[in-house]
Amino acid sequence: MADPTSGTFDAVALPHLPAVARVARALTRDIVDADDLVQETFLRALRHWHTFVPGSDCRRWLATICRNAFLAQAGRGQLVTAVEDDALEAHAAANAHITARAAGLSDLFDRFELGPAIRAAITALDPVFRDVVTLYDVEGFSYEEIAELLMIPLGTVRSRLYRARRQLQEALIAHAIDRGFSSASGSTP
Amino acid sequence: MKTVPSRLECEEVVGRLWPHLDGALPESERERVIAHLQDCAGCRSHYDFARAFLSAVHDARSDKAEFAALEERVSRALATARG
Repeated sequence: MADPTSGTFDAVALPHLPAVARVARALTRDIVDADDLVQETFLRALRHWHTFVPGSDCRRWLATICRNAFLAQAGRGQLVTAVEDDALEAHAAANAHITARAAGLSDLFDRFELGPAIRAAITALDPVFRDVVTLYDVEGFSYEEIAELLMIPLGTVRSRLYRARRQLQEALIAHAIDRGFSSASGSTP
Repeated sequence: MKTVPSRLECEEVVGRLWPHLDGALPESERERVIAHLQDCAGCRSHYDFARAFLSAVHDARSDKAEFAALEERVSRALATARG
């Protein structure tokens, strides 16, 4: 068990604050509430640091505390019905690629620095989709962890993730075309 | 009784690209997708595009500055809690 009096808490737990903050934002959908929840999460984690097993997954431990703190605050819970249209989303994503290829942008993600555009496109997503793509593709939580943390079915995690990716691809391709990236690539439609 | 096809068609492979890239396909399906991608330039092109996209999204994660103020606030709260 972890020593609560040592400095390991700051060294082991605090680096996971961005991931915990993203979980909190996904749960609360409000930045002010999310920041309060993050603070509560770390205070709880400090109180229970003696129960943390050194070497185990601290990020997951903190994320679970965050979810439990959220639930404890108002007895809240979310459950939605899964929409199993994963294959359709994958086909729509392939169509986005066809659009990109026609515009000479097959190598869009290899050739151009799109960091700011990607961050802006993620921010512009509907929160339902933004939460899942941020937790999976940016933070690296698994399908199962996201389902557990956000209290939604596994199928819903997949559906939201795939839809978010397709919407991001479409937004980034449109952005690249608007900025004339296709001509810069030297390709012809 | 229906038999499982030994090869996947392009449409089936495209429909499985996201779970394949996420490592979420069962082993038997994963092998069939890989076999198809080795032979089909069209599907491999979709796969390469999707993989490059995911890599770009992962690399676009915001820097730590986004949460600097929150980290400072939490550190203060922890210091108070420790007395």
